[in-house]
Formats: sequence, structure tokens, C-alpha cells
Amino acid sequence: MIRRFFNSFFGSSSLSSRQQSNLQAEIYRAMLRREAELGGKLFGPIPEGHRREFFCLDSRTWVWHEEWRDEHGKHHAKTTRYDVRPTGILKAQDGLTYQQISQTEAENLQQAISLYKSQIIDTLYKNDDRLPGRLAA
Amino acid sequence: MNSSFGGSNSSFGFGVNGSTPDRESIKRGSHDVYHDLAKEREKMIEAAKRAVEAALDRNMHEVNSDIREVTDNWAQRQDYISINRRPEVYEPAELTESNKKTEIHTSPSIQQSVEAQPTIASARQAVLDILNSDSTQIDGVVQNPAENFSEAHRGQAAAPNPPLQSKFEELIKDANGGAF
Repeated sequence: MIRRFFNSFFGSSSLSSRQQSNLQAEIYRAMLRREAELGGKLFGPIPEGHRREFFCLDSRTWVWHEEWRDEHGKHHAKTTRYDVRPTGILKAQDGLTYQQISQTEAENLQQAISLYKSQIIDTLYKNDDRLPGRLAA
Repeated sequence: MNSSFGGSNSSFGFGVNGSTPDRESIKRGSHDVYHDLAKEREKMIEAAKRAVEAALDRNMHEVNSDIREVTDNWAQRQDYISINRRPEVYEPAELTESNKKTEIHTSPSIQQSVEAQPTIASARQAVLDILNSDSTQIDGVVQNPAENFSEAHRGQAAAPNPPLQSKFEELIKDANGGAF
């Protein structure tokens, strides 16, 4: 599997800088997917039919994504993006305009991030040498 | 994004002579990339965590400032209320004779009130009326408009019985800021 993956990228023994970047990007995306999946489990059991993800996009952006089907089978999805700025923490849902979050929401976010770091990152990267996702196959 | 991951490009484990890398080399190379990226992620998440904490601290500081401001404002308002609850301040003063005249003068409508404001034209007309009249004692609100105008705008009592003409000149001069 790993050989196939590498061959799909490189196809030969030589490795260009672009190919190196592609490899890094692929591994990085796989890491984010795994973080997001585990991050979604930080907030307790996920209801049946729900898909929840929570992850750190970059050093100032956190993303909460949730998908579910209602009783009529209609698909719903909501993406909340927290943007940490020098002036405070802003929130944008589903691409709508930013709004300043309340003190309570900011404190909840901070707790979630603390949990994320301690339970996800420390466990995932410090005690686990396995490659993420399909890269580990 | 790709260029900022900081992975060690030289540690992929590929053969340096152009040969096809073996499975172990690929695996080792992938792991090297993975571990480099994992370190990057750790640093990034730690930075993101600190950014949120700093934002929260600032937010708390601002909230506390707001609370202090509201508290101060409320204290000032309490002072204001307590002052204004004193009967001598709160109760409306009795209408004096001049107040009554003012009330009569301004009460019919806003338009009348506006018209009652002393202006150069109205003052000039009022003084001309006085000059043209036989008596300075006119019944009504404005017994002597020149004197009233002068008192109202300069806070000075008019000189006792000055010649009407000089009063008029003084009035005009005063109304034009001395440029007349």
C-alpha cells in the first residue's frame, strides 16, 4: 500500500521537491482527518446518525463540523469556524458573517482546546508511531 | 501550506544513486515526514491554545473594565438620583411673575417660542416701535425689549433710563459682536 502510494506520487526513484511537498501534504491531511475524528469524540457520545469533527486548522483557527439527518431523513451540516484574533475570538457559521463569541462560549472553547491538546495530541503523536489513515496500511 | 511544514526533505530514505527505494526505505521516509509533521502540529496546537487563552484573558480584562465602568456610572447615577430627590431640587420652583410672563410669551406654540427669541431684526423692530411710541411702558411681556435683550445676552443690567437712541446703538453693536 505504501509502495503504491509512493509510486502514485513519484513513479520513479527520483524525488522532486514538488513530490516531497505532495507527500507532506498527503500525510498532513491524513493527520488532520484523524485529529478531527478524535476531536469530535471529546464532547461525549456522538448521537446515532451524527458525524462530528473538531480540529485545529492552524495556529489561530479551530473548526467544528457536524452532520446529521433529521427524522425525515433530510441531511444537515453545520460548520463553525472560530477565528482567534488579537481583539478577541470571532465565530462564523456556514460562511456567514463573523460575530464575537460570548465569554461563556470562549471558556468552553478553551476547555475543549485543553482537552484536545492533552488527550488527542499527547496521545496521538507522543505515544503512537503509526502513520495515520490509509498511509498506515 | 506545504512549504511551512518544516519536514526534513533529506531523510526520506531513498537511494541516493537513483535506484528504486525499497519498502523499508519508503516506510522509514514516511515515518520521518510523519514525525516532523507531528512536531509541527504539536507546536501549532500549543500556539493556538495559548492564543485562545490570551484572547480569553483580554476578554476577561475588557469585561472587568466594562463592569467597572458600569459600576462607576451607576454610582454616579445614584448620586445624581439622590441629589435630585431632594425636594428643593426636585420640586418645581413656583412661577414668579417674570416666569409667568415667559410662560405666556412662549407657551402657545413652538413657532411662537422661536419667534420670541431675540434676533437682530426683531430687536431692531422692537426698539423702533419703542422709538415711535409715546411711551416706553407697553403692556405685555416685553415691556422694554432693548433692556430685556441686553440683560439676557450680556448678563448686565441696563443702565437706568439711558437715552433710547443710545440703547438702540448698543443693542445693535452687541448683536453684531462689536463689528457693526
